[in-house]
Amino acid sequence: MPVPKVYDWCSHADRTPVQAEYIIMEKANGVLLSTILPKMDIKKRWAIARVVADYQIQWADAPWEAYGSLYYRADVAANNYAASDVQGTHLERFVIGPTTARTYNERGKISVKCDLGPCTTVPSPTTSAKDEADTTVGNSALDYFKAIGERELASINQLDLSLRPPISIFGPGVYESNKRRKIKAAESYLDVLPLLMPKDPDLLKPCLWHPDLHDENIFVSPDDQTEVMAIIDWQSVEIAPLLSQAGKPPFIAHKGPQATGLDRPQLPSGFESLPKNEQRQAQDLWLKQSLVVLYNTLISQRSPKLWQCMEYQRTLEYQSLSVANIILFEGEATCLRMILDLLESHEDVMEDDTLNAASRRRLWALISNRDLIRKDAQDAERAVEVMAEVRSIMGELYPLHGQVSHGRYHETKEALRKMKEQIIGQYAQTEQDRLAWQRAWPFDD
Amino acid sequence: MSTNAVLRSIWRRSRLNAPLASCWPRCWWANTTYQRAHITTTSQSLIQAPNVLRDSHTTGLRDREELHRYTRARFVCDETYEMAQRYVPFNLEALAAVSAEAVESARCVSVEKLPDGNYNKTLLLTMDDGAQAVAKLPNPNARRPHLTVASEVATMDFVSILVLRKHNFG
Repeated sequence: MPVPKVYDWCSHADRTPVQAEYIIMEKANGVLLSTILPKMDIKKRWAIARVVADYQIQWADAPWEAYGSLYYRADVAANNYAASDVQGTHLERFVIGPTTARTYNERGKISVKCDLGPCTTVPSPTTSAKDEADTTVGNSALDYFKAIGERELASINQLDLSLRPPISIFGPGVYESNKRRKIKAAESYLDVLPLLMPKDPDLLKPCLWHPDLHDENIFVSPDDQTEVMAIIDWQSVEIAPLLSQAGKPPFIAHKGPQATGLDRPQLPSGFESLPKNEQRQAQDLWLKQSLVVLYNTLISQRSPKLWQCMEYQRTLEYQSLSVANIILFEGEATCLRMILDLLESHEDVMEDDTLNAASRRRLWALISNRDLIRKDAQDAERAVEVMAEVRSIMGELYPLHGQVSHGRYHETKEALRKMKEQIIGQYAQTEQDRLAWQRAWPFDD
Repeated sequence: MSTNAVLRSIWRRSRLNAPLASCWPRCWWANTTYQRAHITTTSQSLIQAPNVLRDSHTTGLRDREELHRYTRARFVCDETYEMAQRYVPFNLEALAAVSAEAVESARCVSVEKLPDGNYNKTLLLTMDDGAQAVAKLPNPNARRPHLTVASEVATMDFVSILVLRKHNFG
């Protein structure tokens, strides 16, 4: 696979005159896909998508025996990290060690003490025959997902919770988050975890995957624009359950109605009688949807396992697994509501013998609090809508990811001050509310 | 040919409904060779592109704050904290020397900052013989000390052999 060659590197800032960790690597050949993608026709886009899909299919096929991130054996041994062997000829120099996934590092989580793995799927030589039968891929994947819940729990307990949520605006009259609810969400996630797993262990097998195949990470040949010359940015890559990794490459994503599944998209009825500009728009959308369906079709035929993962990602079970990653920031109410929906839609869940007494007690409490949980989730959804409203009113001045270009800084700050007054006026009922909003408003220094 | 016709022909020729075996060359990786240019040489025009820091005197390169700072955008809140999360102190002279040695050139003559990312500083280093290399230094927000860089390097190494070693892998 084409990746830049590493010439030199150092991962110990205190052992190099550079006084920082660094990687010195080959300059990628070719042109960045983002610079030519807008002008590429559907044929060329599809050609690139095929190449990338084929990489993904190979990643999905590779056999691994642990979840974690890759390291050199010597490197990990010198630092006493836990590690699991990589099987395969000429691969002895690699081991799987602690994960470097961003979800373990973002927004202060670097300082949180929690289990970084690796979790292995093979029994150790000392394991008894009985335990061996238990140490299957499924159980080990369970450990992987358990570590996520425990990480969130540890982060909630160890970090300052006044962090502003990334995509919502919390405040009185909209939604107010609290530590107890966050803890309850993480605990409930851990309680129901076995029930969220797909039945087929193949969907959980460990898999190395580039999680960010957007058009700024792909270099293509300037002559034959469909030849991939380099894939860059392998930072924070982990070996995770295939189910968590599967996904279409972001460069074929588009705005507007999404095509899912394998049905070929249709042009709107009465297309011929639409005005010219609407015809163009409809056709443009149809082409983009077609590309997604072509990709889906290719994946479903070439790697049914990968396709099953993408299908499973649409279930409530998977969405509960996924929202657990953001309980610390803003996901607690949604997480609790999803778990409640699950408990209510499968009545036999509470009889499941994988549940221990404490879990059962907590989940019954969840069910008896159903009205409150639904209301909290609705409020949290509204908090997302408030942020979306601010975004649509501000238009181009909206600070995406809290960032704004140097030239627009003062203009944006002024617009945000006006937005703040407007939102507070809209939602604050009392003087106390107003004060709370002053503190909660996410765009002040 | 209209775009619809193009798309129809793609559907037809993609043979996605054909049996698996004929749909994709089985050993496509075996006949794909990627020219691994050892060291890219570059034209003079690139070296002289604007925004390049030329060495101003014989003792070395000019260091500038913007090589270390996040310069792409400003933050509307917690700016001091966010900027600190994206500030990378390093010794430019040492980095230049290490990179020149890494590509077996005598010395590095210019350092150009590539567009800022949220998690890294990336610099394009050009040597006296025209050879080039990219230096990537992770921001504090991107890394667990040691782990992030060590793992990225091993991952790149592994992935570069993954396809070629397909038959031996597993």
